[in-house]
Amino acid sequence: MATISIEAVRKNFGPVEVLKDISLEIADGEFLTLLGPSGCGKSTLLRIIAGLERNDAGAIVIGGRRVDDLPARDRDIAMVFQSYALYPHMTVAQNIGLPLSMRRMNVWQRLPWIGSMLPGTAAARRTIAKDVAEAAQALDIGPLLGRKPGQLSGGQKQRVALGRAMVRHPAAFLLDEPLSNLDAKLRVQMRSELTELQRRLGATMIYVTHDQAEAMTMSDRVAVMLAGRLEQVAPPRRLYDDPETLAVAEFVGSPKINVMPVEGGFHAVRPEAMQLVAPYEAGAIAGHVRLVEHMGSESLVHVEVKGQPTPLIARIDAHAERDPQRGEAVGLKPLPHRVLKFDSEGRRVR
Amino acid sequence: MKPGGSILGHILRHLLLIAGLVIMLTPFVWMISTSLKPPNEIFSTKLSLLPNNWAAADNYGKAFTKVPLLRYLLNGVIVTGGIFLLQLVVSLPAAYALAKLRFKGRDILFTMVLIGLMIPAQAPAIPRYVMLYEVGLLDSYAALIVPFVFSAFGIFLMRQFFKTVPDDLMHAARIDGLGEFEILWRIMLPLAMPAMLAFGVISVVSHWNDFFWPLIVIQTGDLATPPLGTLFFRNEEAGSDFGPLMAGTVVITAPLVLLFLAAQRRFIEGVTLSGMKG
Repeated sequence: MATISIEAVRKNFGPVEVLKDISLEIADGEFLTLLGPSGCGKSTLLRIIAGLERNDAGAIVIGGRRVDDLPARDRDIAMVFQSYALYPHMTVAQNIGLPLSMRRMNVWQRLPWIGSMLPGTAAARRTIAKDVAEAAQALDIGPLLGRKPGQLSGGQKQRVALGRAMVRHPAAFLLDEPLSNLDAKLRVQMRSELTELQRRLGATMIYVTHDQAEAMTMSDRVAVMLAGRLEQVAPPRRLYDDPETLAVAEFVGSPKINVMPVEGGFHAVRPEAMQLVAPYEAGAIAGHVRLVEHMGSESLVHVEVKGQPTPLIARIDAHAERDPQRGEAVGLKPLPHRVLKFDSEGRRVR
Repeated sequence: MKPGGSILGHILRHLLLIAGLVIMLTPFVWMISTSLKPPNEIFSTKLSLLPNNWAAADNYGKAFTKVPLLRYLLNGVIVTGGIFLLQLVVSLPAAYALAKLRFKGRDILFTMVLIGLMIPAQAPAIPRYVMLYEVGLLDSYAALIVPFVFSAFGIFLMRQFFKTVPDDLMHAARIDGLGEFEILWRIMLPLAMPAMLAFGVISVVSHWNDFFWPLIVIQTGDLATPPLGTLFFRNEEAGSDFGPLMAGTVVITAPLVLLFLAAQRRFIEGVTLSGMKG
């Protein structure tokens, strides 16, 4: 396991600046998520760390070793792809075992037929089979070892891809949207399994996603990337409660944070920090209920307010005494200590 | 029946197909029929598919004894096999590089391959002949094989196939420790089997049947490919003994038909390039 430093990395695709001066330190054993909308450069950054793309400037340091000039295979990292990228013509066991046979056997030993006749091949194959079985056991895919990827479900393919990554105990794991091809239920289940696995292995993981629920639930720290720039790197809780910029405040949190223009900047209030009060109450923002979304335990009340381009949203307890109706005149009162203030550039004012 | 197709359309379609079938199959049927008949029946004015007196043993016996037919078949196997294997050695790495690697001049190179597709084999025949003469390779297996080792069609076909293989697969392979040649050998090659088979059938058929080039570069009878062999056959038999000639032709054509039948399903898979999904 290792630390990873990203030092002033830049990348252009032709005239387009994809990464603008990215610096980031990832601690040994940390689960760090790169969160951002599609096209923000997060996957490119991951590929640069993996050695599949070259950075135009800056440095990547893995475990104290500068790796910019090393090919992917010498960086001691493993990667899990969104498409799983399993080799379709190989069995699950062969898929998981390939990175091991590439490292533990020489060119001649890997040859078909000839390899079997060389000294050491049988022993190497035995230890590989043992390690593959161990990884399969840890991921609960032992019975699938003889199958081909085409015969597996999405969740099973996912586990095989994880097995191929962890079998050689790399210094770090890179995961590129690994859950986005799974159905919603399985995704939630795999989320906790992945964090569990990461804790158990004590592995350094860099996890790329556009899904903030994944980022918030799994990570030690989240790095929010917008338009090729790191906006903020912080633990999930801080990111939500204490965003550095308006862009981060708006990107993180669902439903979106309420932004109200004020003199010289903006005030932003999370929906759950908006209290629903009577329209005439002192300090309340008056408006009309436009829509009530019942979510079960809670309700989202969309309130149309004069001078506000989009309705403000308040998240209220569904079983509170108040049951607002559509068209009803109501007042909104932000909890004073939860009002986030930003200047006109979108920077936080404390 | 497809939904929406009327019965009349259905019948018309089948009539058309049957007509095409008759036009294409008749010469073959006649060839087989002639190879079974004695000389007097071949030139008889009556049309019949089956002979009154079977002369199959006589005709086929002559075909194998009068000329070294087995030798011609062996030559055919050596030449077409040699061409196909060397074509793979050249076109697989070239196609992989053109499909998946980023380097300067790649698009120009690929355009050149496409231009190469449009040049008929006869056009460079004379310069090739002169070159083979200069290096002293005329009238040898090499003269039959070497000129066809670079196949623009093979590179093009394999490149189109490799294009359909997802990039992530190669990325995964690079991280797993495979070099570019190993990616080609361990990942791309097994996936490309259907396309390679399709290319194989096309390559083998066209070179097995090639008459033009062997006629130019081969003088020694022992090096003759099957089509050239039938020419020697005719000369020796003064061109009148059609029974054994047709018997020889049947024997020469048979391997191709068998090859196609064996590879048919895979062949069509490869041509439609549907080998990879997910």
